[in-house]
Amino acid sequence: MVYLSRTPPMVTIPPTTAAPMMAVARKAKSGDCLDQLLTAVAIHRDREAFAQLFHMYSGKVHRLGMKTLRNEQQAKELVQDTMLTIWQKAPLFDSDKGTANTWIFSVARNRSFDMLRKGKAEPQCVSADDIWPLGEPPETENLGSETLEDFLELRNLQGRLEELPEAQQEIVRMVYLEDKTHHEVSEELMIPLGTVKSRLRLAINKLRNSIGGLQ
Amino acid sequence: MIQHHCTSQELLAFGSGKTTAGDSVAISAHLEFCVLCANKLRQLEAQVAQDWDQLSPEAVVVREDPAPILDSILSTPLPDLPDAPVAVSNRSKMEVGEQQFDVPAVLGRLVESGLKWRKLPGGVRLAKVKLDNQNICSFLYMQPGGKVGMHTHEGKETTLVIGGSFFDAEGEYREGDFIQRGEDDNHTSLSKEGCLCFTVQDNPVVFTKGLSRLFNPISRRLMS
Repeated sequence: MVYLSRTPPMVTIPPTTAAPMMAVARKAKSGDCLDQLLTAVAIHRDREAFAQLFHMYSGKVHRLGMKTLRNEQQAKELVQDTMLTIWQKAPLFDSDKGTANTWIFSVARNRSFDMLRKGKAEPQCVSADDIWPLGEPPETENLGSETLEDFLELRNLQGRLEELPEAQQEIVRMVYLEDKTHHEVSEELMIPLGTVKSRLRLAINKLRNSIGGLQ
Repeated sequence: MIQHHCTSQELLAFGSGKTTAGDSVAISAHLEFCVLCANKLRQLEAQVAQDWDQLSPEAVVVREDPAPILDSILSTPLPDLPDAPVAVSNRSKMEVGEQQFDVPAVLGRLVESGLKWRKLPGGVRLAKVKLDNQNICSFLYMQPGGKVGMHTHEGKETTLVIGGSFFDAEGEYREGDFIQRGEDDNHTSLSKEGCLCFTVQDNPVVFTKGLSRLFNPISRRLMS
């Protein structure tokens, strides 16, 4: 909510009819640029970056909607649903696991799958986000005493820690030795929360295995 | 080690969101066990997404003014995404017979909503769940020494082994294995150590031998 009040709700809207020249320029740098835009939305709740993503993708999502849902009204709804999910769940994006384009496609596919099933009155006991998780599990899993154990073990495991890839070491240090929250790490290193979590998970699993190997 | 995998076509259809809910759940559960297929899916998804991205934006005409939609999204309150601690995913447990199994996350909610088990002959229990309009999905439990009688199906049958193992004339299947059977497969399955599976069928199974025939749909019974 801090982010919401930080910038005034003013958004500059580029003209809807993009000149062909612009389209070419956009394609040339699209991959990295897209990742940066989504990362900016993920970390800083950057409204300007979101507005750009919105203009780049609402047409594509609409087209996907017309293809799968075959109905103008529902295609519009899909655009709205997808864009809202991107805005809300951007922190789940993990740049280690795929591109921003793939992640946005996954969001659109998931929303469209749910809408299609709702239209056919199929049971809602499983949702698309269960089938294709958009990132790390959203529920907080309670680690309880395990965290403390991990922490204590880690203190005696400096050597093992150094065997991890640099990117993972850094995050383990920040979280376990400097007591930073995942959000703080995300902002400091400029990587999405999803990436912080997946790297941390990989590191912990490696450390666990390495402890297991000792016993 | 997982021996039986999804085909590339299945993964492609799954990644594109074109599989039924039943098949999607079975494939998603397999991916929780199988890094190989999970990686393959990631590549296929990237490809599908890229093809989608390369649709020229000029081909799409959105007549509506996008500004109100954008404004309404930006003024929607953000949910609290928890600063979740790291843990190996918590799988829910399920008890059936005298055995306990870890259930893949995608099936967790289904299991927690409560299953109605029905006993079948041969030490087998079946709990049906409805996920979509095209398939019949069930949890199938074979107790140690249990046996699913000779049967065929009218369509395709997908089986995902959640825990334990079973075998048939063609081989043995273990935790995480993803097995497809076609229409003309007439087979008997047995389990030594007990087994829990999730199955997806196009159409009801037709038992061809013995007492099991009593469990065929009524229309079938009248015909045979």
